Amino acid sequence: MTALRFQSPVIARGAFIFAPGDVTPSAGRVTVLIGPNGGGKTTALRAAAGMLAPEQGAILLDGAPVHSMPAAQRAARMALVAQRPEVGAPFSVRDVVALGRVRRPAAPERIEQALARAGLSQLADRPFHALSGGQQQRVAVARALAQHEPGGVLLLDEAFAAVDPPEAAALVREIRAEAAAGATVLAATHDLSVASALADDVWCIAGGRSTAFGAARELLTRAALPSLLGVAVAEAHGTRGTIAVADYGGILPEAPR
Amino acid sequence: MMHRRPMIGLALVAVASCIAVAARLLVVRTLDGSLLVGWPGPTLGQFRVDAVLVACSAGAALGASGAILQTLLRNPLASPFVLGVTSGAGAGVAFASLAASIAGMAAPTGAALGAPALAGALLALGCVLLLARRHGVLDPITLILGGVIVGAIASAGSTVAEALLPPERRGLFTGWLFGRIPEVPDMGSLAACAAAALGLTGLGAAWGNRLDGAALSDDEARSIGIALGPMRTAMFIGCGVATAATVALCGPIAFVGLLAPHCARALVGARNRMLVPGAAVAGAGLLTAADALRQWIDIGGGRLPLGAVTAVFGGVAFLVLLRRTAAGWMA
Repeated sequence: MTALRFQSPVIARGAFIFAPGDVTPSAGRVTVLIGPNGGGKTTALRAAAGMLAPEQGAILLDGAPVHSMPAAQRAARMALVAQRPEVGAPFSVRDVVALGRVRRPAAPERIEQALARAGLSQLADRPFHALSGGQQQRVAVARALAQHEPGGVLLLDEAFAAVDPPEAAALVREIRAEAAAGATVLAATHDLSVASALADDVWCIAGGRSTAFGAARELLTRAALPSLLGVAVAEAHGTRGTIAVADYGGILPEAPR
Repeated sequence: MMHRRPMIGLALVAVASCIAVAARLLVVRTLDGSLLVGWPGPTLGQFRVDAVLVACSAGAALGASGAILQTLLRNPLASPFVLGVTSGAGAGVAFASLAASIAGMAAPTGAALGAPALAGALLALGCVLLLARRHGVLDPITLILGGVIVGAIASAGSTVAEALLPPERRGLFTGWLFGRIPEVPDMGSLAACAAAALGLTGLGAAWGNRLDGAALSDDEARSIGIALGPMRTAMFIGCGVATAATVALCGPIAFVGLLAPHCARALVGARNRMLVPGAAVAGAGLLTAADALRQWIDIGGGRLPLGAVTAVFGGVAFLVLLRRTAAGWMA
């Protein structure tokens, strides 16, 4: 299994300083990054993907600094879904998903399988640019699934932000299946419903610093969230139980995983 | 099926280009204005063969450069001319000629034009890329506007350099400034251009899958394993060399590098492994066809300058592409 470790990295981006301290997302679990906008979620993911060089400390992939690793070697162990997928050429959906294997050719079935897992089999021959924003995000997730090997690292930056709830739920199942098979998953989201469906662990970042890291069952609760995110959480009682509703969107089931 | 379609497309592009070559070799306008079909024999025929070799080499270099630039810059309007690279190479040659004149040396000709053309091409491309960079990302609109403006400044520079040349040195230069296909080419320049065209096409095809990957955003491209920096540098220099070689051979030629990739893409698809060779073959055909048209059309003042033919057809096509390029890639 691939090990990802934030070893007290310090990354300055203008006035913003990302210094989360020592954090190790667990292999075989989904760690969800939450926190206010501009708090450092995307910086954390870009740094984990080796896009940013720490000025101090390090981010290690299997013990080696991820930033200085050759791109092809890194790609064999780690896949990234960026916040806004971009494709600057008139490729089909299948072409884009196949790019996940551009440096390590795989059997065509592998690509078809990734398409099917993201619910894109029917759209495979459509031009990428003819798709809606949510569909394009699913294509990016499918590309990461095609690239990802069991036991690798999956980095997802608001990967379901524009995806409809039923499709998002299906993608959450696929991502959790990867974690169950040994993947280290680090996923940023501002949607607490997605967070509670996805998370084993929660890593909260604000102002570039870690404010909490722990099991979702302890942190994604109406007791913990107000102090973590500064949000109010209301309770709603129904015939089938109680749910908690956070005031910036997101419904938490009473007992998250 | 998936593998066959680009092959069939490439064959169609090749057939169309062969038709253009045959037309240029076998059809000429006679002095009384009628078109004459036939082969004039080896001596006169050699002029036509040389012109076709020049047009094919330069067109292929421009077509391959255009395809690679469009992918790397994620911009369907990118091409050596639109980005100012062609005009930059032209200005390099113009100022080298002026410098030679001031220094009292013979006007540089043939392969000696290669070095100043390359310097001008890379300088222009470097300026445009720097101008368009915002927070580490290339802004597509600034890229095209910057290219057009840098190209305009470079062209104006060429005109100024031409005006400063002594009259006896101007004649050759004026024809060159509009782009022309020489029937008696400098063999060194022709060989250099053909080598650049073949080399760039081969590189683009060999790295086709990586070029495909570079169409993603920078972060995504790196995350799938593309070493973006080294590949971009190698490809930009390759496109600069190929463009400079065409300018040294033919002068600045507009829009072939823009149109050839779009013609090829319609037939062979967008994957660069086939697109780059397709664009090279299409560019060879387009420039040969433009040269053939130039031979046949007489609007009263003798043969049209080649640059005028490519600029009129290419400029209209650019406007059509601009209309279709609303957001991101063309619909």
